[in-house]
Amino acid sequence: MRPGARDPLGIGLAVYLGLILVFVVAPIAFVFVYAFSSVSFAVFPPPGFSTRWFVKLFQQEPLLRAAFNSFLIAVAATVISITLGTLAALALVRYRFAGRELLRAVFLAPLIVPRIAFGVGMLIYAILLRRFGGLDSLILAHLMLTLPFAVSILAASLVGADRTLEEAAMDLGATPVRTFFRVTLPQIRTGIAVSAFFAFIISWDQVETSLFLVKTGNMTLPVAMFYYLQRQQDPVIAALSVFLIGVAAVVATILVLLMNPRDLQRLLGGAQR
Amino acid sequence: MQAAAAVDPGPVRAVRRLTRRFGHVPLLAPSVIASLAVFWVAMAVLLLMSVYPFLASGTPRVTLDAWAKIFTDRYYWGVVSTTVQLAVLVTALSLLAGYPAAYAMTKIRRPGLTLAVTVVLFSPILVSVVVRTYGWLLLLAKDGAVNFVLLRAGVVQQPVPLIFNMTGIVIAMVHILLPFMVFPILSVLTQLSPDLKEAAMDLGADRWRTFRRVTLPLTLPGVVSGSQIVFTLTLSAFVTPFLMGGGKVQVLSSVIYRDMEAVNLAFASVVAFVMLALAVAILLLSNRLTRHAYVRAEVLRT
Repeated sequence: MRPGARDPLGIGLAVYLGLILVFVVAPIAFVFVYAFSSVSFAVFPPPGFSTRWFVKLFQQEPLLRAAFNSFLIAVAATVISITLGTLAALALVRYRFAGRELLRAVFLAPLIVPRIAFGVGMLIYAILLRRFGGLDSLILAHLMLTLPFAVSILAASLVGADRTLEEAAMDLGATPVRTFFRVTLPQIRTGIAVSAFFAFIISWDQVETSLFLVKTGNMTLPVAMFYYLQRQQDPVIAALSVFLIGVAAVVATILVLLMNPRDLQRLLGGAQR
Repeated sequence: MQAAAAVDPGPVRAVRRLTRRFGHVPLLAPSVIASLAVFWVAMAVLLLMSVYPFLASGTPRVTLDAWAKIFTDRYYWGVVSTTVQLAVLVTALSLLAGYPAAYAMTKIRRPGLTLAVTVVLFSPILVSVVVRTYGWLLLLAKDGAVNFVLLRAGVVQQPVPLIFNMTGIVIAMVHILLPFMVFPILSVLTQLSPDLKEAAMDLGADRWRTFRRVTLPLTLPGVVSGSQIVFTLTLSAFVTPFLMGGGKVQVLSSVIYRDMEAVNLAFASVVAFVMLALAVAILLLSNRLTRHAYVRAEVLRT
């Protein structure tokens, strides 16, 4: 198909894509609008504008506390999954050994098991160990969900790293640890950034697995938002979302600017497999 | 170490051989131990709970009551069927919406525009599922924007009930899962060689025939993998069906939630395994289809 030039099929496709983009943006745009609505219910158009929901948001101590918990858990799950994931990816890419398929199954199973099912199992396990409601059980549960992504993205990233550079460093007398930090690590930094990003987002927005692991009054943010919406549907959640979307937009922009797009495409392809 | 090598290379070589053969063990140990000790034990405990409710009051005993209940109670057959219907519907609609969108994206000739469309299409992933569901509750409410437009345009005389039913769940789920459908399709489409299409056109095939006989078969692996992801995620989704369904639509995840609230852990475990069985069945099916699709794609290439 020739680009542009009054091609009815091309115009049709462009219009269609435009409609899809409207569909994608609409609910998020409406959350923004209703954050500044003067009334609590979903009437269109909103009768007036106010900033009272932002005021009310900062009076919601449980929500703010949940945000802090979620941040701690997401940072911990990200750091641990990057560390363990890099080590595992090194083994998977650099060594030949029997039982790789079994190992893949051990690592990747959490991607297939429904998250709510794993959440029920984790709750029973946490009760048995008398760790119910602790941040540690949440971190470990989230780690299980982030680790598969970290391992596959980092493995894809390591495949692209130049091995001869490492050999050269070793021949020049660098220890394996020094070689890793000075030669290998800089080569896989896009992979680390991407998997850190994925791990953080997965943990930060995790509802199904966390749902049963949190205690009332000491929740994670998405679970607290879920319970808030279940009780009352006022735009406090919309006001909160304005902040969250703002932060997400800044993070995404920084990431896009920092990364090499070609690397990114290859790594995301690797993550899929 | 180097001093030792100068004296006797034997031990150094032995160490090198050892690291080459067993070097992966310490590297893998932390993550394997963590996976086994957390994920696999949790799943084992879940299975145990379904046949031996050890946290219930009284002396626990081995029982298949919970399993028997789900296989005999017609109500749960209804829930399974609603869940599967929802997953089929969401997968089909995501595919219908996502394939042409991905196809249209490959036709954009300006790199800046491609980037902008990609960002808009995929950025909702950064917004919490809870927030996106709330957005749809606002849009589709009785006095919400969609009903406002429909009433003003004279399409309907009465507000249409769009939330607290299957319609609302399907719309919101398609929105949430669309990126997971578009991404795999887009990645196969961008890898497609334009030569093949040109060859087909040169041989006299019209555009529709070229699409049907060349493009579509070659992109089937992406379609299959996108469908598998969307289907599985719909099966296990909780927040959107729960909030958009408003207690009126029961799916497997909401049954698990209700049983957990009623502290019926044994039954929640059984329902969790039913959900897992469905997810595994779809994975096996999609693996078969993918292999089939790849073989067809290979035949076409040669």
